[in-house]
Amino acid sequence: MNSAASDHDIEDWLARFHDGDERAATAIYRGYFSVVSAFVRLHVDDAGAVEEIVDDTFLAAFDGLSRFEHRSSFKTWLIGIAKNKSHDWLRRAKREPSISELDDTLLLDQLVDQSWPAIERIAAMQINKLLHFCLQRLTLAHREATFFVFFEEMSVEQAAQELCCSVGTVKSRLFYARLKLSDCIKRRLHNPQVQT
Amino acid sequence: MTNDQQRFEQLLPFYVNGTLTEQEREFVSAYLAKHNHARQSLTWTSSIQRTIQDLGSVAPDDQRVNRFLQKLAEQQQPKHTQQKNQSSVPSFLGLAGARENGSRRDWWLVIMGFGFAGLATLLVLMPGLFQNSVLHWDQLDGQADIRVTLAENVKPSDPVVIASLQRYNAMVLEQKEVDGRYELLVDLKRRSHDQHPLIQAMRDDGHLESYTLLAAR
Repeated sequence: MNSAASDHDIEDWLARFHDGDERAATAIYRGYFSVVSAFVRLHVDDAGAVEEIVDDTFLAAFDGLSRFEHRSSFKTWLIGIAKNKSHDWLRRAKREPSISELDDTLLLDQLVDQSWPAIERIAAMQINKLLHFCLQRLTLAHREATFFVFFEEMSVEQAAQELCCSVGTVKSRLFYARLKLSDCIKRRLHNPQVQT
Repeated sequence: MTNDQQRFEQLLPFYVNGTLTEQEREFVSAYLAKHNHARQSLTWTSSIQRTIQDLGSVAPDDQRVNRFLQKLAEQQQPKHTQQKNQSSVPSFLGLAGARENGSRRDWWLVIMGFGFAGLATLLVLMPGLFQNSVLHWDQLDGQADIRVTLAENVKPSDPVVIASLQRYNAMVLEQKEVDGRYELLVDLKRRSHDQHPLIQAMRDDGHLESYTLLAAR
């Protein structure tokens, strides 16, 4: 068995954890650290808080394993906890910024330049940093859609199931998420002082 | 936006993450080959995916893992002391000893439970005892507990009367002469404990004619 847990062997690791196997907690933590970290970092822009929230997520999961009813995958359950922890932190910190509260279709009408940003000439690191900034300012629905499709690499049907919405809604959310990110990036490139 | 362009834009994220069907992938590839502007969209979408993938590129080092395990142990420690043997807490958290002592602790809890139940029963079934020993511990509160009428020709200043009052921590709140006899309103420090001994002592000395217990009033 690998030293990091995965969806394939998580049941064995959970059983071992319950039986007191010291390696199980480490394996589960190592195995799901990446996905939980990515999810939290997509929501929270404070590095110290990210570490705290990630650990709190695992602590809450281990503390409430009896409540894990296997109706979803362990990873989905864990992400659900991470989501709640992140929201709690954002609420306490009074940070829930979003690029636009406007209706998606209204936003589309308001965009003067609807083309995708020309990023070829910009350093990848700069784009990465800017995109991270803008991703954290998407609405929750758009953020979650981008996470499940681009990080978890889910198909449209899987993402629809995960997000409890229709296939069409997932496609629509992704389109408008990309559009809002594009608008955010262009504003930042044009004027770095602009906050959104 | 044409229908093809709209379809292309909707399928593109799944083209990038590799989850399209063969037919859909062919459509996107053909569209990309025909339209230059589509390449910009592909570059943009790929960069979004790269950024999001990078968010999860961190792996916890040993120090971080140990820190987490320490937190986990601290979290489980107090919880375990309440959970007894059926706890899901793993033994590697250093709590094996506590688990072994669980049954002994259970017996203590049972014994203590019976003890509390017995005490409660005693207090309910013996209200007199409860009241006398606890409820009527009233201190010198300035409220008269007994009205004492001294025997004829006995004055409150009589040394024997004063000695009795002092012995039983009594204080005279008021005195008046009625029909040639002194009537005293007396406050007792421990009424339930001392009122009857005081009365008995004064009666034995021949100084008491009558009395009235005022507490019940």
